[in-house]
Amino acid sequence: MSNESLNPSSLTTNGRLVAYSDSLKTGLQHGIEFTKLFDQLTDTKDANELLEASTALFDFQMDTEYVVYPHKYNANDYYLIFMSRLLELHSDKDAVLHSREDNLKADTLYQTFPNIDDKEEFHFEQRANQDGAFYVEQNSHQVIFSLNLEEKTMYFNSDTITKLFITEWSDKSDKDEVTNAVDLFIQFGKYLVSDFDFSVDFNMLDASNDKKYILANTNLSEQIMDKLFVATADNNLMLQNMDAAQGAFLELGNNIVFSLYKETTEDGTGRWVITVHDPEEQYSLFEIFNQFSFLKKWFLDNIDELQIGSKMV
Amino acid sequence: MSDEKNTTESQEQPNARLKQSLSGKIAFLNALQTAVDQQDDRLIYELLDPERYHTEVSSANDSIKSGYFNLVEDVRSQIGHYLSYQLIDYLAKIYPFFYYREVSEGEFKILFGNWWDRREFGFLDVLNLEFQFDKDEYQKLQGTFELDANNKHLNTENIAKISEENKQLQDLVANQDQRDQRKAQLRDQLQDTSSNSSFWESGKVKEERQAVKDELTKLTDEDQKATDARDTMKRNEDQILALSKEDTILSYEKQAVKQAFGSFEAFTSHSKKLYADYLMNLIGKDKVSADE
Repeated sequence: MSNESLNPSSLTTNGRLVAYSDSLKTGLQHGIEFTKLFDQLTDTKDANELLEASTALFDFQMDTEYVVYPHKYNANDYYLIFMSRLLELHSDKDAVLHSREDNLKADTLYQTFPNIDDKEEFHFEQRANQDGAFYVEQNSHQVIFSLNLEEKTMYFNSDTITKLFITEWSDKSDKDEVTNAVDLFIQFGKYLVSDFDFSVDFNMLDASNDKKYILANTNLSEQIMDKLFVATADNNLMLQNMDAAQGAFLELGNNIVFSLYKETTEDGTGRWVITVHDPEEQYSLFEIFNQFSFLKKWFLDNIDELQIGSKMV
Repeated sequence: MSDEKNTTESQEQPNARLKQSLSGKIAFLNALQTAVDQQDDRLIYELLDPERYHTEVSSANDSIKSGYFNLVEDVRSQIGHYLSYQLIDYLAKIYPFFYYREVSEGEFKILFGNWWDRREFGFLDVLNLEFQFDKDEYQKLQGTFELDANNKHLNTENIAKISEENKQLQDLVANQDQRDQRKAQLRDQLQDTSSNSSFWESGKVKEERQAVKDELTKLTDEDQKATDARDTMKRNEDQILALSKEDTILSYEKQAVKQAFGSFEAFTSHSKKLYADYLMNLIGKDKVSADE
């Protein structure tokens, strides 16, 4: 019955005029709803309100049949604003959020890391058939992490950490700048955990001592370890034999210990893992490669065998 | 009667001899047991080989007689296992770079160093207090010390040779385009000479043609080599890695020996007197504990 009454063709002319006005009002009301959420996104000092607004806006359909708003942000932009604002709430603002005027829609938003390369732009993208959004470098579309505010998950991508941070960035910037820029992502992830209890896989950026960086490859050639052995000797260090397992470890000074060994999982299969231990838990695998160039070289020369697995698909 | 008396009389002597040898054995076993009870490893070594002990360490005590060790032949490995504890503690101080793996009871493999893929360096004979170094490995280390004077490693020349070969192979691969151009040129030349040949020139032309053909063959051979070069280069790289690894291990070994003994000679002469050194050390320990 109610469906029938909404059908304009069944109404009198006057009824149709009223229905038109109602539809406009609904459309405008919808726009007002939007601005409330949008204001909340940009103004709130409360992290939970920020997350709530971002999540709602990501799926918000602004236009109705009767009211179409020409200037709109992309759903992805709300993720970017969310990220910037969360960092801002924690007074952490290393990434610069830019807007570029765009006649077709609202402004285009993107982030840059001027200390690395101000021509590299970052934003969120969506992928077909995949929920959430992917934080990417715009030109290469390399995914740094995936983020899903609804599911409360964030997964870093080891492949991009290797290609972008460990290879490209460290070629064009000094170590500390790279550490600094990457730290922004780590901080963002940490705030997601502390503020909203997200499940975050920091992958190669995880600096905790009990983190095991699991190699995607289950079999390593004998030469991998031999190459590391020779390279460490060239750097006046010594790769030491591990007694308890098939593997080796390397003392890098300041009580930083890098280990590579084979472990047997509960289901009886073997896998190779890397661990990094240091008293302050400051060093992630990424940071080790950033700081020790001979280890980075060894890793990149043998990346086919040494690539770290990723939760992100 | 007299016969009977004679027999009793003559039996006394063999009895006495038997008693004596039995009591000798019992005394040996008792002494060994006491030594084990009191953890007197020095005494155990003396009991195991009194002659050697008296020659190499001390001639003072000749109450302990040789020849009884075969009594405990069947517990040899247990004694070795037992003695290894104190011995290895001692060795760890003098030879800090040696590690030992008990491959079966009382039998110890020597591992040189704590680095990756350290070498097995022979066996430790606990009962005889001797290092039985693996001949090949020992000679390699010796060779490394000899080369040390020239600042060279065992495989330096070999590595240089293989690296050079790889460089040439790389050039061979890189020059493929040039070779292809030259081959096309030569083939054109062959065409020309065959169409322009006349009777008078044929001798000279034949020579020229042969030269062109030879060069073509040479270039095709090089092509083949370049095709195989990838595999060869990979094989060479593997070989260079293996040789560098060996050099690295040997230089760690050399450093370790230098640090502990100063020179290879000092290390060698020390290793040869392990028996006397160790037992003197145990005697010294006894004195200290007796003085206390």
